[in-house]
Amino acid sequence: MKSHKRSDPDSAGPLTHVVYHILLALATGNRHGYGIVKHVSERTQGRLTLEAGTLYAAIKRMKDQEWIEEAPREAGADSRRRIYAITGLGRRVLLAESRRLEDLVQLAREASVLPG
Amino acid sequence: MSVLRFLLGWLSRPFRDEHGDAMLTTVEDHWRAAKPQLGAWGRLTFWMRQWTAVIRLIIELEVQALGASEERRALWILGVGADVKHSLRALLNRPGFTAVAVLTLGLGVGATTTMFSAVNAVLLRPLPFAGAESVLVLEQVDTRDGTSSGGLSAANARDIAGSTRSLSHVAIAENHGLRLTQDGRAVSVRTWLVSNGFMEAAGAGLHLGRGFLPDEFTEGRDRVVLLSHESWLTRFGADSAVIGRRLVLDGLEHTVVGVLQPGFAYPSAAGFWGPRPERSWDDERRGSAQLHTVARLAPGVDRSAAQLELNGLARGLAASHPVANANLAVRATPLREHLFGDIRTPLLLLLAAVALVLAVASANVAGLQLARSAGRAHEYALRSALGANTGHVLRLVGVESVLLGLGGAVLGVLLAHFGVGLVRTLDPAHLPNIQGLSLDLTVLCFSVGIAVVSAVAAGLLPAVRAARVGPQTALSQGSSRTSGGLRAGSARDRLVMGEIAVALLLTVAAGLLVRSFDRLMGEDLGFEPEGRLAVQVFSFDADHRPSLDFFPRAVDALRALPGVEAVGLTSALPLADDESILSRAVPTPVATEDPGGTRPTEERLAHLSAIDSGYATAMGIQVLTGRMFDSRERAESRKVAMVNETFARRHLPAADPVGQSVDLAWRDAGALEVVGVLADVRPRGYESDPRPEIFVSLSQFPTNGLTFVLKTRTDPGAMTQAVRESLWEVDARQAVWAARPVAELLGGWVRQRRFNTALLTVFSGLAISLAAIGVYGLMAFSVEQRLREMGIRRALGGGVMDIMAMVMKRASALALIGVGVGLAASLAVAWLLRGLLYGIKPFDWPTFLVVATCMFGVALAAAYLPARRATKVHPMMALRGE
Repeated sequence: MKSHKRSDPDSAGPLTHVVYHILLALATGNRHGYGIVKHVSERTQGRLTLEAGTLYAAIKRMKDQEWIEEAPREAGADSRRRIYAITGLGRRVLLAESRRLEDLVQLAREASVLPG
Repeated sequence: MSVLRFLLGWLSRPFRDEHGDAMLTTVEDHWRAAKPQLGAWGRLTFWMRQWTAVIRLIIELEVQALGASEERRALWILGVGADVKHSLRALLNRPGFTAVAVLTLGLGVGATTTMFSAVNAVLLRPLPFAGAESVLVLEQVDTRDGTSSGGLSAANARDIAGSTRSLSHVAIAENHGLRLTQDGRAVSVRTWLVSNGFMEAAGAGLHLGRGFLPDEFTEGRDRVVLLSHESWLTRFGADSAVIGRRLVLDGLEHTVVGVLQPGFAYPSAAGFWGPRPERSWDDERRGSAQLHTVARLAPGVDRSAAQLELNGLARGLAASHPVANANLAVRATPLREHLFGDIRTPLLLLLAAVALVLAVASANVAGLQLARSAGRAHEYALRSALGANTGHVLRLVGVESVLLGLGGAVLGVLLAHFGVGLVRTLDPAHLPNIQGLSLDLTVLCFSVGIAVVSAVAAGLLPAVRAARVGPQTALSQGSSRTSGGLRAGSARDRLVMGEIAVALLLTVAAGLLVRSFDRLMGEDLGFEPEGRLAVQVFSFDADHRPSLDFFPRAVDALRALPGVEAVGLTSALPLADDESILSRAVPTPVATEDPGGTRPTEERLAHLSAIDSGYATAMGIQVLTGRMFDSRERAESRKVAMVNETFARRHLPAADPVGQSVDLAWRDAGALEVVGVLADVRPRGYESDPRPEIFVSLSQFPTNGLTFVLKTRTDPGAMTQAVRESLWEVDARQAVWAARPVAELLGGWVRQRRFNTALLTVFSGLAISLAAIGVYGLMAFSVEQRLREMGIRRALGGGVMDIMAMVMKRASALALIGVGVGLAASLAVAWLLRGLLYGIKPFDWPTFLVVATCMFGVALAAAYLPARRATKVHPMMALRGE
């Protein structure tokens, strides 16, 4: 496991869509577990609803890779709710993956699969 | 939540410590937010998805933990692969064991799957209504005794709709027949006239076109209809150009504005839905609360709050209209409960019964596994000695059980395929949505799930036992021939006794139902349902005014039809179920007079119907005293009446009812002379009791909604078309509202009972066979294990009969205990069933006695074959085997 740590952001992709959506959700602000579920569900118009099991499997992997980290809790917040924040590395991975996707879309346009 | 908490407990320790609480809170938050928008189905899926995700996580973490290195992970997977190969070989090497286990499981799974598919079709599938969970059915109940009137009156519904805050829509539906004229001939189409907001309240979706506009609920602008999806398919050839088409209904042009979504048949199946404007007579009829009323909860309001508000509104209505609304209360029932309330309990009882069958099947497989594991203790011990840990042995057994379970599932699904066909032939029309009965994905997942769970459950007990046996113990016993041990034996004994008890319990339940059914069918209906066709017509003239002269001409025409023996007419047919033939027997106050004048005149209620002179002959009802109506009854002649036996007995106790007079508070009837007494009939089938009835002559009191009863020489159902044609010949404007063989109407009243009885009988038969297999297996196994002992006994001069007696004694002991336990449990079950029994007490001792004796007999018979085998053992053979 250790060997995967701090991998080069450019060679991290392609990401699974669950991981990508979580990174996107955290890129716009720190959130707790259900906060991520809700954000993803709203952004995808309900097409992707994350179950807790799927979410935390991804969170564990992303924490191990140091793409996200636990944010300090606000005073008085429910101690059982953990807040997650994206790290600098996480942002770079997200950016790299987004570029990769953009390149793919560009290819699709050039092939006239998508309207240019 | 508790299942989830349980599953989270299986997560690996570090992960659980770090994320467990957070996961739980996430699911709690999610559930709280999602719950209000989800139906029963949605809620179930929510949890299924959460559970599966956690299970996947558990497996993922386990696989990771098994080896950080790729090789160890590969080894583990290879291990499972080897186990699968090994298990397959082991199963195929013992084809007898495998076949019996798979067959047993398959039978149990097949029966359970069949029943579950019915429950799934009826109770679990989402209703074809948008937001069905917010739909309520409102009905007026009498505060004195809680009896429901079946709905609300139009005026009360309107007033409630006007003042409620907790309900977003309240609307009524009125049963109506529209005569559709096509090609110059009229047919009757069942129609629901609904008030403004009905489609919104019920959540009806549209397949094509639009719903009703608010201004279409005004008199004169209401000539629009929505088609049911089915009538769009059958009557209009699924033509989408039907929207905007003009149809002549009741002699007036109506426009088709839309087609409803498939499956929407609410309040019941119909061809058309039309708008019902407020009527001028609504206020006068405030007391007549029979219109089906549907309401939708306003967003964010729950049912108890709505009921609370309705209680207040009902009190207000009772205060403002003290006569019409005396003792008024309004009850709100959730739609699902309204539709399925009556059938849920019997259906779940059947599911419970079939679950017991599955339990017996699992017990059998567990018994087989125990027997086998006794034989395999040596193998397990060897594996342990060579370094396999308990986990490995358990994994091997687990893999084998899963394989068995999958085999059982395949067979079970095959059997269920036939089972579903069988259920369909029982024609359970009392079950809504049953047309949708099929083996869909939900059902398949269910059956594979229960098959694997039962197989694993059956394999686990022996496996744990085998894994616990220390290698030394097992190995020192050497050959497995003498092992098996006392413990394994007694566990199997208990399993077999349990099987006998459960089979007995199911058989007692089935026996009680069969006896009830028998009693019921033996009851005299008072009329002959076989060979009779009932045909209802509401007759109107060209201006859509009730027309009376059609019927006498029609009777003559029908009498002339070949195959028709007799024709009669009635305004209220017994067995009318309102789904096809509408019954119009009116409870009417009658005053009777004691001829001696010694007692004061008293008013009583009797059911009134109008019949013609041919009715008694056509229905096969006996005239007990006096005479039937005949040609003497004319409009201008003296008005007369007939009564039934119950009426005569209760209300005309003098020696001869004929010649006495009854005073009818109905139309301008006044005092009528009784000319004859008809035999009692059971108005609602076998289970209903006769009620006081009074009959008037149709020649003196004509009406336009009548049912022809035709006594036919051949199959009455086959006459339907000829009857229609003949009626059209008399008058093409007249439409047949419904035509059904009377026996079929009767079938409707016994169908549910027949369905429950037939299924329970099949299940108990299955349970008995499985228990017999269990007894046989156990005795055969124990005989095989004791062959050596038997051989020695024989060698020492033991007689054949001694050995036979020894085996049979053990079997009898098992059977006796099983039967005893089963009888005790049956008493409780009989008490639960008491509501479904007819004509017998729950503790019907003949049933108990017969079933107990049979069960005991079956157990002994199953033990006989192995016992006989034991006597055939040659002393030398058994000893040499060592």
